[in-house]
Amino acid sequence: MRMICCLLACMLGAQAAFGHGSDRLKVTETVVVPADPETVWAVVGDFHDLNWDPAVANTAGDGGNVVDSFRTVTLKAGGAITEQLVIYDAEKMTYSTFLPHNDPAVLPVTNFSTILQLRPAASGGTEVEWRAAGFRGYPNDNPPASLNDDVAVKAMHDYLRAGLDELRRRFGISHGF
Amino acid sequence: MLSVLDLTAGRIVATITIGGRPAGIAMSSDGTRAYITSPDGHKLSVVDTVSRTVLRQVALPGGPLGVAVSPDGKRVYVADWYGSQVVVVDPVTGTVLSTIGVGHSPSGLAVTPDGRLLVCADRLDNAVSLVDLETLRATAAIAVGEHPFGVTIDAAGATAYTADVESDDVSVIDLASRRLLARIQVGKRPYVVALAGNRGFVTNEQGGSLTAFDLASLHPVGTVAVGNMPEGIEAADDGRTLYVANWMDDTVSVVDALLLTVTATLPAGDSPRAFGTFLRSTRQGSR
Repeated sequence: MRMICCLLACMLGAQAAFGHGSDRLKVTETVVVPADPETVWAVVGDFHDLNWDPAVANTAGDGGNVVDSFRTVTLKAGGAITEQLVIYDAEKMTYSTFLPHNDPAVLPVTNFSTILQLRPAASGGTEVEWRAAGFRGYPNDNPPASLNDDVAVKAMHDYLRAGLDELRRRFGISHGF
Repeated sequence: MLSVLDLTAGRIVATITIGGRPAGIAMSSDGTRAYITSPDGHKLSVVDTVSRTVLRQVALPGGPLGVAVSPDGKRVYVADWYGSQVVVVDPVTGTVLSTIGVGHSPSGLAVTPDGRLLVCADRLDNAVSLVDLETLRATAAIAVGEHPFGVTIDAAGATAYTADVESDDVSVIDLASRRLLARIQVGKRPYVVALAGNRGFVTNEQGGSLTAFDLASLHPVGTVAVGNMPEGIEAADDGRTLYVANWMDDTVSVVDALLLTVTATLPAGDSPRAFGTFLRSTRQGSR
């Protein structure tokens, strides 16, 4: 006679990044553009083609959007990251990536992962949500200032924002946003 | 913050301020206490789950993360993620009773139901330590997969399971013979195992899924798509319902362990981790 109902205690992470710790960090950025989701997906929906992103010099990959395949993204700022496709769902217009190994000098984030998700916007057009998560570049206690949580959050924010701002330029600003 | 979800109502009914980015949780066997670790705040918080108040906070060295409680509730074991020790805390007085040397970067902890053995995932050693809880000494180390994180022990106290983050498998350990029985290939970056009925379930942090495996054959039997970046998982007393904290989505997935389906998705707080045991049984009409 147990278990009539039960309670779940559930942990909350920090709302804002601050100076220390090795907790995973996440950033969510969105843009709403006045184009239908199919049109936007045709631009952003290929894992092996990130060339729409102004931060990217080029993308090299096998093509096909097969889960577990890799793409190597060369960044205009210098360096490259090799990401793995972990979820791909064209019907739901979403894909997720994971970066298993990374040089913190290229991107000051470890275990960097992203989720791209398109949804029809309530006001018409498309909401593009791009999310990133990862740990700071320095894994232990007392990180140097160049590899702390704030630096990791800013790098993820800037990476996502550059791509979404480009979509806004490409498709225009949605009325009402 | 600690969020309290009423699973019948499917909503958050309370939030309790903890501080220091809480991550690990252990529920006492009677459900009246929750022990919460804050790696960044370097502390253990003792929460009265009935009054929903923090009774005390205990400063601890290093990065307290994994946490387990003895069946009688008299000792709380806390792993120092940045070091190589497990700290033994008296949760009533808040004093540190002892420190136990284990392997490098101890992560998940679990205690056998008889309270005599602690299993500790020594993440950077790719091993688990077995700790005798009478002598408070590590008596064996058993090699497992790469970077074991969560540890789960079955109700019989016979078998332990680790989720090995870097090798994408679950290690199965026979505790009596101290032998590794199997390594089961699962999804990407497995986090922790829960047991329900005759199946085990592991959260695959990348790919947003659970891998289910048969506890007898030790072979995978299916996958369940849950939310993004699932972390903590625990089975309810019915042996059929699983609760999964989806860190990225700020949700909890309710999963039918037999049908391998998500039956509900509940709102959680910001970035739920729930690393440890987090379910509490209540009787109808009581809180």
